[in-house]
Amino acid sequence: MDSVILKNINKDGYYNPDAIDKLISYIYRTDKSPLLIYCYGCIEWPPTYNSLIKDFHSVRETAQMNVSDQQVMHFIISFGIPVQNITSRHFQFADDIAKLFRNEYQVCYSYHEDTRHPHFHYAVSTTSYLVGNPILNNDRMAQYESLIYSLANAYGFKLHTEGEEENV
Amino acid sequence: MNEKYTENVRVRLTVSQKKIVDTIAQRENISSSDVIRHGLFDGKSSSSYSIMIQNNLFKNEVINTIQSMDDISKNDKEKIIKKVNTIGQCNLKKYK
Repeated sequence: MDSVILKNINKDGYYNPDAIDKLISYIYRTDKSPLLIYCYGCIEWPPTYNSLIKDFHSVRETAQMNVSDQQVMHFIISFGIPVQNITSRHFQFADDIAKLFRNEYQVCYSYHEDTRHPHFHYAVSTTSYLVGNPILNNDRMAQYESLIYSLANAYGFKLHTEGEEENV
Repeated sequence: MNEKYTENVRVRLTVSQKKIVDTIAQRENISSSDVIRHGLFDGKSSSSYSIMIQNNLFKNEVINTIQSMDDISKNDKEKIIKKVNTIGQCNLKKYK
């Protein structure tokens, strides 16, 4: 059974006005060798690095209520396998995670293989694009994490949270 | 507009959709029927961004899937993605 680590990286908060810009640029490595865009929730088509940033901001700016000071959630899904063993099934799992969020929140993710283990970075907007929908706060994020656990089980993956097993 | 209302119509929503309807109904002090009716038929109460986002969700899924397929070549992927990116766009030059 493949092991998977879920690492939630939100200790720094992402409260700064350029948090969206910085996180999206970081996960796609736009300053080094830009990575493929995987996303749900783009307004402009086709999505680019800059249009994604703009789209995340647009939803925040036009939301009449339920806007969080924390602008984005950032988490990593890392597989306990060597990079060369990654398959489309792992990508499908990664996309299914994004699908959990897509009906309420904009989400984009990227695939990284710059460490010993292949991993995906996710950036999820805390402001819903649906009018009147609640913000993505830590409580709601915990609910999503439970869904990710269930999804991992369905795929036959053993999911750990950060700290139970180090491989990122 | 003084159009008559029909008899009540039953609508089944998901739990999260019901929550949204209830939140808006409570906030605006209106009935759930008003929220759903306005949401469907009053353009001013719809978010144009949410409609555009929802319209693009399927294309997002297609692109994400193609990019992650390991049994087709990079060239073929690029060709398919280029084509998918034009779906929904009217190419006026083509018809001139």
